[in-house]
Amino acid sequence: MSVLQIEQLRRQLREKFPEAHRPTPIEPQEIKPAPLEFPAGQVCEIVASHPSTGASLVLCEILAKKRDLPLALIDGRNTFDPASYGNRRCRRLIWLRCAKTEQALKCTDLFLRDGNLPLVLLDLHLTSERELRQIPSSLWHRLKIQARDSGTALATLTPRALLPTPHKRLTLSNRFSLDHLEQVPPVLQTSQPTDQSLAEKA
Amino acid sequence: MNYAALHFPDLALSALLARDGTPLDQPAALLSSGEREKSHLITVNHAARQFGIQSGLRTIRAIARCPELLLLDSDPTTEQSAQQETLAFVDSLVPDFELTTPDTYLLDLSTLLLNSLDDWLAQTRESACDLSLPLQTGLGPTPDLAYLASLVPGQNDPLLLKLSDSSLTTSFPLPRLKVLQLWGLQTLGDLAKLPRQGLAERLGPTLAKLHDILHQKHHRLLKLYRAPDQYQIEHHFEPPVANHEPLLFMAKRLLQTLCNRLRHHQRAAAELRLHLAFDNGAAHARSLTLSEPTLTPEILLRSLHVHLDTLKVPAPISSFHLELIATRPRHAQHQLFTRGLKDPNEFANTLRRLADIVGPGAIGIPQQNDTYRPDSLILHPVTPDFQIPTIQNFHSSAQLPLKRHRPPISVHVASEKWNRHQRPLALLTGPHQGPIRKARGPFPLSGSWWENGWQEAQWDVELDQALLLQLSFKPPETWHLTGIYA
Repeated sequence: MSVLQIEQLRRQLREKFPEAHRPTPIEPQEIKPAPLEFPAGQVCEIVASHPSTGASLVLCEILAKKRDLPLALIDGRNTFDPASYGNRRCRRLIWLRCAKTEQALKCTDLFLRDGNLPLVLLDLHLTSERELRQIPSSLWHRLKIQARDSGTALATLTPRALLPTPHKRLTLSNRFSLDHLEQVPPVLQTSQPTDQSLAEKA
Repeated sequence: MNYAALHFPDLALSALLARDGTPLDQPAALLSSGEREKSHLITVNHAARQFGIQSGLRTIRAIARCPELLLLDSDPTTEQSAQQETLAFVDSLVPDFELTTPDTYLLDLSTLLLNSLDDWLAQTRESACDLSLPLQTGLGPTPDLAYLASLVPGQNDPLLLKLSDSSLTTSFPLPRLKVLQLWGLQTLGDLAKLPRQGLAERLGPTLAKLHDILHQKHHRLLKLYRAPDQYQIEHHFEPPVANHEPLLFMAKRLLQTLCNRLRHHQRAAAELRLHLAFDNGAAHARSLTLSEPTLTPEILLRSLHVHLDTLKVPAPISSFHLELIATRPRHAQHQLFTRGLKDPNEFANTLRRLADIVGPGAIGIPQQNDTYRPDSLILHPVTPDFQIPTIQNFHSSAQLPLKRHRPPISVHVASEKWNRHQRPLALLTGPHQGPIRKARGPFPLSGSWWENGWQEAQWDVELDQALLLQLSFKPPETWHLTGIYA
C-alpha cells in the first residue's frame, strides 16, 4: 500500500468519524519545585554571584527538611544568624564559626574524613576574592575524593564557580528588593531540571 | 556455727582514743559541732556509760556527772582511716563478709576449713590487738543471731548469745521497749518465750521478726561486700620523655590490660582520665568522655592520641596515670528506620579536633535566646545523641535571612532628621558605599533597662544593584552595618 493510499484512507476516516479525530486540548503542565537534594558522596556547588540573591534561602530550605542526623554548617565568615531561621530549624544543625577561610577548609576536610554526618555545607559566600584565589584547586579534588570515600555529601556556597568538576552546580539568578522582606518567603524551584540552574520565584 | 560477727563498739570514738594513746577505761565522749556550752554528746564509750552518761546528753550535764570525762571533737579523717583498717582486717580473715553497719561485720564461716572454732576466734582476737580498738565478737547459727551476740557486751566464751543473760536495754535499739518493760520482760529470753502470734497481733511485725530470729526461724542471706574495682595504671618514665610518642607506646599496652580487666568484670569504659606529671613539677589532668562505652583499646588510644596531639607540654613528661571509669556495656539494637552515627567514638574525636581548630566556644548547636536583643544566642555543645536542653521556641519573623557581620562594621552614614529618628540617606564609608535607594524602618529596639540598658534603631536599606543591608543606629550618632540580607 502506497503512501497516497494511506493518506486517502485517513481522510475518508476523518470525514466519516469526525468526533474521533477532534484534536484534544493539551493541558498546561504545572511546574513543580524540584527537590533540593545533594547525593551522598558527591560534591555540589551553589553559586550566588550577587550578595542579595537569596543564598540563605537555600540553607533555609535544607534546614527545613526532616533528617535523622544533623548537618554541619561550616561558616567561613561567621555570618550565620540563627535568629533568621528559628530555633526549631537550628536543632539539627552543627554550626562551626570560623574566623578564616583556612580554618573552614580544615574543618571541611575533617568532617569529610569522619564520614558520620550525611551532609556538610561549606559557606564561602561572603568570602573575599583575594582569599578565594588562595585556595588551591587541588584541595577541591582532595575533598571530592574524601567525600566519595566517606559517603558524606558536600555542598559549597560560593560567590563564583570555584569547584573544577562538581557533581551539580546550581546558580542563583534572582535579585531581591526591600519589598520582598515583607512578602511570603519565596519558594525555591528549578527553572529547567536539565540545565541544573536554580531560580527563585518570589 | 556458720556465722561470726565482729563489732567495733563506738568506732569513731575508739579510733580517736587509739590515735592519742588514751587507755580504753578512760571515760570519753564525742562532741557535736558548735559551741561547747550548747553542744551535746554524740557517742560515749563503755567507761562513760558506767557514770550514767548516754548519747544525746548535754555536755554540761555530762561533765557534772563525770568531771573526768574526756571530751573529743570528731575527726572524719581518723574515722575513715580506722574504718579502712578494720575493713582490711576483716578482708584478711574471710573471703565473704557483710558490712552490716560501719562498725559491724558479719562473716560467713562456712567456706573456711576450721579445725577448731575456738582457736580461730582466739587468733582473730589476737590479731585484732594490732588495731588498738575494742572488739566484741559473736557467733551464731544465723547471721542475725551472730549480730545480736556481738552487740551484747561482756560476753564470755564460747561467745554464744545467751538469751537469758541478754538484757533488753543493752546495746541495740528495740522497738516498743517501754511496753515490753511494762510487761515485765527483762531479757531476750523472756521475749522469746512469748507466743509469736499474740506478739505479732499486739506489737506488730517487727517484733514478730525478732521473735523468729531468736528461734532461728529467720535465716537471711548476707549482702556480700565487694571492694569497688579500680581500673587505673600508672607509669613513670626514667628519664622523662620530651614528646608523647613513648607515652602512647606504653599506653597501648596498659590500655589492653585495663580493657581485659573490664571485660572480666562485664564492664566497659565510659570515660578515660589522664593525669600527666611534668619534669618541672607541673601537672595536667583531662577527662575524656567517650561517646559510647567501649572495650576496644584502639578506640581509647585514638581518643588519647587526639588529645595529646593538641596538647602543648611545658616540660618533659615524667609520669602518667590512666584511669578508666567503668559502666555497663551498652546493648542497644539499632533502629530500622532511623539513621545513627556510623562511629560515635570517631565522631567525638573529630569534634575534639574541630574544637582545637576553631576554639571550644565556636562549635555547637545554635539556639536563639528569647529576647529582642540582636545576636543573642547560645551555642550548645554537641553530644553524641544531639540532644539540647529544651528552651522556648523562637520563631523567625524574617522573610529573607540575614548574614550578620560580627562584630558590626562601624560606618559613616549621611542622615536626616525624620520623626524623632535619623533616616539614612547614603553610606559614606564601609564595604558597601553609595546612595540609599530605598529605606524601611525605623525599628526601635531596647531592653534590660533595669541593668545595663541597650537601645538601637534598625533600618533595612536598599542600595543600587539590589543590595539589601541592615543598619543600626545607636544614639546619639553611631551607625553600624549589622548585616546583609543574602
